[in-house]
Amino acid sequence: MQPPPTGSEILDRAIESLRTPQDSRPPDLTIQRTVSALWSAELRRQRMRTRWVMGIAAAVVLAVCTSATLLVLQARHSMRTIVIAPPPTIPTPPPPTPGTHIPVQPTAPRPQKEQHTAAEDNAETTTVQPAAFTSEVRITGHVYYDGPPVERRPIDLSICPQCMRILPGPLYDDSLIVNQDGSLQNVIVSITNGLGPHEHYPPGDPVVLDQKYCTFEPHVVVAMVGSRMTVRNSDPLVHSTHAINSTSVPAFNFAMPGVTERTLDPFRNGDTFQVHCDLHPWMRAWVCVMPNPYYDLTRGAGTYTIRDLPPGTYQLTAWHEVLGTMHKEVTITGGEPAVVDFTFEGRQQDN
Amino acid sequence: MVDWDGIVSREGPAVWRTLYRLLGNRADVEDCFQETFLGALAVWNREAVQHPQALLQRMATARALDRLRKRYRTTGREGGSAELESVSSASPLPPHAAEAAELGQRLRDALTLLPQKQAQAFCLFYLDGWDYHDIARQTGGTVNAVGVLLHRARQRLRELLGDLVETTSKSES
Repeated sequence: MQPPPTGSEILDRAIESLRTPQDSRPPDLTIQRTVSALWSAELRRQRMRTRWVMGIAAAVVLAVCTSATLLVLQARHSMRTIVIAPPPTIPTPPPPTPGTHIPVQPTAPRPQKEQHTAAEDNAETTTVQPAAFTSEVRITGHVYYDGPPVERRPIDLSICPQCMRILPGPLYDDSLIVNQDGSLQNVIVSITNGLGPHEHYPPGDPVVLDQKYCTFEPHVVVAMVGSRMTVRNSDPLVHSTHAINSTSVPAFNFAMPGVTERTLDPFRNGDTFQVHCDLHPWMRAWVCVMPNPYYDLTRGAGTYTIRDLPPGTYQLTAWHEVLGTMHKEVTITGGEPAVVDFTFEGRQQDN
Repeated sequence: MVDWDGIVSREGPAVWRTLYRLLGNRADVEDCFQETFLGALAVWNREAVQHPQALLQRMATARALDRLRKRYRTTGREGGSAELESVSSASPLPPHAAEAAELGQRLRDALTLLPQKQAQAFCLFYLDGWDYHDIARQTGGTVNAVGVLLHRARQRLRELLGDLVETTSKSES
């Protein structure tokens, strides 16, 4: 009698029953289907990978474009901020009281007048400065206007909505500014005759012509032969600086995109340039280049002062862009300064 | 580019045998056959495969065990027997062959009740003839761990097939 099988024997029999070959080869159709499915999956995967690569490339391009745009916007914003920011206030020294001793600067005195800024133009006391103690006043005086009352015309800005957005208030015509006491601003008084023919003077200080709030600042710039002029655009919009000399020959003409500046070559000859902006027709300025350092520009008080002129007889010329030119003769003796006033005859204003 | 035509032709029969041993059902075998190769494709795209046959057999075993568990959950033990009966009724078997078929089916059912690692190690060792080192390399374990897995699997299967001991002893007596 055979002993009953154990659990291990039953398990071995079960294993053996599964190991017995039953169907050892897949049908050809199954193999073909499987191969087709594998190739399809492979193609799908490659297509997907291509899409991923293209998607990543598109994302990179988009990111680069976005970054570039942000950088440009940031740069523009920072430039605009410079324009909007108020200019730093320069503390003005208190006016000297009579009898006060102010030490003389160790630098050699310059006979040429300094170029005045807009802030100085509006100050009544600009002629009383410590510089007066470093040089000697030889000629001084007032320039007056005698004629029909002058009202500064407001400028029609409707052609430029961009200007209207940035301007703090209305703009007025600067071509003829008469003070309440009848004195006249923006008159250049200079020595035009009587100096030695071969006098050589050092070049003057650099000057600045700024385009701010859609107007030239200052309205009249006086420079000397050999001086450099920096043309600046402080507005966040485009201006064109177009200058024509006294013989109607274009001297320079260039466009200035927002908040830029450009320094020109030194002036070689004395001349008078009318500067205007081709985009904003009301913007006009004058640049007068003097052959000698003996000149001054009347400012808020309508006065002028010429210093350090050697004794002699000279022709004094006053020039105004609207009212024309006047000449006077003056003799400097070396004592008290000569006082020479000019009075321009006014004409009826054209409307 | 992988030569899938060659791989399927070369390794297909071994995969088919592995699947057929565990499933015993042609429709399921065909499904798992394709799934096995598609799964291998995914592995191929991720990493370099040094032993395609080993990978395919391991994956075939895993797929077959999953299919067995799914079938067992869906139809229960009776369902598996019913399937065997339908196969048997289509082609009448001699008594010895019928007993072997039933033993095989009981072993399949019992394998579904084992943990995945034990069942896989059992199938690779006893049905596909792998050695301990191959199983350890393919499953990412150690040789000792494979021995423990096989021991526990065998012990558990003996318990699960315990009722057959009494039945067989009665029939033989």
